[in-house]
Amino acid sequence: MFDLTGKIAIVTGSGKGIGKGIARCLIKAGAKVCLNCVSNRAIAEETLKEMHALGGEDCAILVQADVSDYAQAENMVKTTVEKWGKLDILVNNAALQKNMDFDEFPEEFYDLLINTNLGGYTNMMRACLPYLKETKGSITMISSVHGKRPTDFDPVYAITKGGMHMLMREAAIEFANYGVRVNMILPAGVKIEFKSGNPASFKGPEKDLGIDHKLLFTKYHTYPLGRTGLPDDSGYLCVYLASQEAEHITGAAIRADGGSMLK
Amino acid sequence: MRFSGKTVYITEAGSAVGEALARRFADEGAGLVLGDACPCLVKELEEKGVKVLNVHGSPVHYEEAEARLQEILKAFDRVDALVFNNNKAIKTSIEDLDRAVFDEQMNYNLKSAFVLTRTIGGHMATFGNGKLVFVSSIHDDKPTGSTPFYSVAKGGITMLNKEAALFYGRKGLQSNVIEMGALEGDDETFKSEFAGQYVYMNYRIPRKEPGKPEEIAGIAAFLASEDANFVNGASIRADGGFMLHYRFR
Repeated sequence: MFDLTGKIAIVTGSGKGIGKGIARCLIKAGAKVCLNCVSNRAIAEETLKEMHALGGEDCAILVQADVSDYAQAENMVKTTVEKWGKLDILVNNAALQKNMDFDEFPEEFYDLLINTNLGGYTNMMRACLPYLKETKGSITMISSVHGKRPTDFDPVYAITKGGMHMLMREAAIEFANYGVRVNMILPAGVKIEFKSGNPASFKGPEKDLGIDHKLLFTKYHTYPLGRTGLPDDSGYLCVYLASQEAEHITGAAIRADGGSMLK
Repeated sequence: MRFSGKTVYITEAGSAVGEALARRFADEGAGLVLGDACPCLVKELEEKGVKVLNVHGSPVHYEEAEARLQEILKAFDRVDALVFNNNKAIKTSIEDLDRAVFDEQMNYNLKSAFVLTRTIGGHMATFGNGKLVFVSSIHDDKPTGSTPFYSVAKGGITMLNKEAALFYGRKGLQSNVIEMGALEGDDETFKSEFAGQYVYMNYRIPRKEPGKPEEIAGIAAFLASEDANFVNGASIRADGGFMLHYRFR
């Protein structure tokens, strides 16, 4: 069940974090994966070595590319197809957040987030579509519970995730004509080695509100299942969504959030 | 007269919904800032004694929004409500997307909402009250199969609304969305080769008549009024039941 042997995948933003977990799960299921990073090449090279140790020398390649630039996105897709002859799976994962409120959000960061989180996902879908049509492949988008629930710390991140919900649905109905499925995974907080964004700007309360944070994070846990998310939570769901067994699943948005949205 | 002495800024006032919004707020006593209104509408309202400032273009950059606020403050003391009504849908497919269409849809329908929310919302916050009303679309939830980046922008508006409801809600404002749908002509605007939502549009609405711009304006007037002080971060679907349809009867 859920066997991806012989399948070729691209996972954007997979040098680290959730994307790395997804790549690992796809490789464990038998797929070959094109890893992608935009800037942290050294970290991504380490990830590539880990993947080779896991699935052999031919199971993964690494392409450094900024998906917000269509030419770079297209080049990554071509590199993958030249290497393995086809493409079955796109996992759109490379996204940014900045953690700033409305009044402090620079316009250049607004544009950056739109161009990466929405423009980048669009670029990759368009660049992959000709090949996915041939294999009746699938696209899985990593979004966030913040496509439904506001962040209260990064309005533009949430805006891009709300837009992503509709990008997924529009792509799902358009690409259904070609037998290409499009789905979405919504993680909440995920424990990863290297946080992107701007952790320093995560602010505590501006004044003492008399709130017992320990109580909130223990008894009334943010995650009813009792732990923060892990990259593999999304990874295994990606394996399922890309598998033959998911052939009737398209336009779906599945939460992998430990129940956090129930709270 | 719920809006006597108040100023309401309505964007895209040249559309059918924009004109209905302008007339409704004028009827309830508001002074108006209108985005790209027809001079004939401005004349009609001024003849009724309504104070109107017709402004041109929808700001998409921070400095443009700030300049717009300063332009408004030369004519009015303050803004009491922003009714963001930008709703231009461009037909494309994702497969054959021209990047310029992406930019145009995202700037006009979404970024303009963000920059005006920051600027006009921030301005209203200094008074400790005000309203943000986004006239959006049922396509913040339902795909069109014809205007994908209109939908993407509307999905973004939904989250902009929720974030603004928190951030500006703490500063005394309320922010809400109208998910408008199935108005006269929408079956052409959103006509798709593969999505069936608008085939026999009128039969999919239980009353078998599309929505009227005036019916959208009534909801916007409610949301912009003090009657809606406890409505915040909501999306009100105004589609006559169009989205519930799945069988013809």
